[in-house]
Amino acid sequence: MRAVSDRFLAALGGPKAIATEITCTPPGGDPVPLLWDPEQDSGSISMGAGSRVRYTASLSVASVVGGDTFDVISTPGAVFRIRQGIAFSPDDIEWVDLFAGETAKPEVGVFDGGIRLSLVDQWQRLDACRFMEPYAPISGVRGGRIASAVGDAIPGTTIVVHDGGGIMPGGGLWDKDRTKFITDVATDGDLDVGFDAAGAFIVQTAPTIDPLSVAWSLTTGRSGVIIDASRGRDLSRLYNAVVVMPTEEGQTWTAQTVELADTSHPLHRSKIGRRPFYHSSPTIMTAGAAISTARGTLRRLLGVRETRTYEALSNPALEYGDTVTIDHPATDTDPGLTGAEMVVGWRHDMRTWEMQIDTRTDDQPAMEES
Amino acid sequence: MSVVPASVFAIPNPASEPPRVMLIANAADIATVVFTRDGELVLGEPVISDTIANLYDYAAPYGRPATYSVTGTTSGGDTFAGTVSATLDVGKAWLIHPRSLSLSLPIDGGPDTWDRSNIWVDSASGESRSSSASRHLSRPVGRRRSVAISHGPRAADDWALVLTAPSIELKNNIRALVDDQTPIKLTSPASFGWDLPDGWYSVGDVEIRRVEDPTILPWSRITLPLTPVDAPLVKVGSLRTWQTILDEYATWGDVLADNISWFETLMGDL
Repeated sequence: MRAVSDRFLAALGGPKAIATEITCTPPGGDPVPLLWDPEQDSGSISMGAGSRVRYTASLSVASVVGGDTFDVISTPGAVFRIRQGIAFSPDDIEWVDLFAGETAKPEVGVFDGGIRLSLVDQWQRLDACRFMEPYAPISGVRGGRIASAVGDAIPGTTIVVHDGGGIMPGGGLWDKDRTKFITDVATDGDLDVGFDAAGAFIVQTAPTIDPLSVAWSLTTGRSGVIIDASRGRDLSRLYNAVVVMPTEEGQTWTAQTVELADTSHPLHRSKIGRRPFYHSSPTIMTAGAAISTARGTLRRLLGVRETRTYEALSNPALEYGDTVTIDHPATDTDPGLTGAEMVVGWRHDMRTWEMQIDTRTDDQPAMEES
Repeated sequence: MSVVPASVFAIPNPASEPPRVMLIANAADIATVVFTRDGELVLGEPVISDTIANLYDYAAPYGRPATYSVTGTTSGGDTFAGTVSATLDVGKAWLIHPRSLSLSLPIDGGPDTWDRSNIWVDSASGESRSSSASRHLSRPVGRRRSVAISHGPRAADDWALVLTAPSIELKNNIRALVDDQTPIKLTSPASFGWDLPDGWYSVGDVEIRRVEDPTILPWSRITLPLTPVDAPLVKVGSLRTWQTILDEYATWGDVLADNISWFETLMGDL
């Protein structure tokens, strides 16, 4: 969770006055404040789990009378920053960063001056700044190699490497897709990578549920914050085997397969058929490491996969991977909600300060075949 | 860079239509100048001619003193500043159009005046006011009371100014004033004691009602819904152009003889 004070957390569950600041900074220029009227303009910010684009924002702002606001916001490379805060007094506002990123296609209403913005974090720039020639990184710590790839694309951006992810060999070859290189290396190193709400690029091990480090409590009752809740399970992508394959000429090992052996498991092939998950690894160096990766991947794929969605009073300081506790007693139709869960996404309404929070009851992130 | 001496003058002209205060700054080689009234920027672009900078203030308060400040720089990089007070004593309330000043209208002569040949402010003006909230209420499960969040202060009051126009011409003048939807300034003399706040307003949907049988009395009652807004940015164009000067004067000597300053040449008689 982003750093906020105890009084900020205490204020989240009660009445509060909100302050908002939205700026657009053209390359080499000064931040230009944008006009956002909570009564007239919409505004929401979303955070989603996993690599690639993590933060998005959708909002409308008004043009500044006498200036060409659209010219400013449509400057290529302009960076938008959004933050909101709780105003404990007019001179005492505790801010929290909500978004930093760019827009791809700004639009302005010619007659009313209204500007509609769809913003995405700087992963958009990583996507666009592809390699000029096939990329063959030198051997080194995976986190460091990822940081180099990000720093080359966005000079000056803050990069925080919390975890290295082990050593990768040099010499692999990525054609032109910088973000594929980053996600390949992150996957092999069991790393979670992405931009945070302030625009810093974070490299860290995949987060886990930690009941000893609870960011926030979602409760119902006299001082509760939950407005509504739902739960669901994704049965569309079930796997019971993992195949790890080499992709580079320098990788001398052959494809390694690990399969669920427990016949009592609900995902055993006797119940749902044989369903392999393929993972192509360009940086694993030995067959043993490939088997280890396959076992770890299978463990993740066999998770419970219950997802929960809460409508709640907003806590915009929450980040991907935060542990939250849930407490809602059983009802006639539901066994109740208790325990620790991991935040995997949210959607914050800038006007209402209500938030849709998506959580998962297990540690294991959703995986994509590669 | 040093501070150089400057003189500042504020000369009220209540007879002008609309009423105005002429601001004059006098310093050596003026390059830039900014006039403020009671801390707020005076609208318009000053006309600078060597050692003189002029600007008309059409948004001055009526019947109470205003403090004018001027700050500026000289072409040599020096700075100057000055302050002066002035009171614009006007006997009528006005609606001012900031860009097309000739559209501005006197709208009432005050409580002691019974002039039914001009526009007057109807007693229905400001009859009700609304101040919209900027808030949201949430009620989490299990709570008896809602949680309120707010965004900044409550909005300033919306209200309606109701004018009666005793002729078709005056009715059309009001329509012309609000036609281009530029925010307008309401200013009333302090002596009126109106509970109708001065300020800049954006005018909403205009409603015009006939008061009497139009074949007998062509009176119209015009309702102007007002929403307080910030002052618009204004660049008042010069009243004369190069072509009008060529048309108006035979020689450059005639221009010099008829105008005491470049400001007057551009803006007409002071």
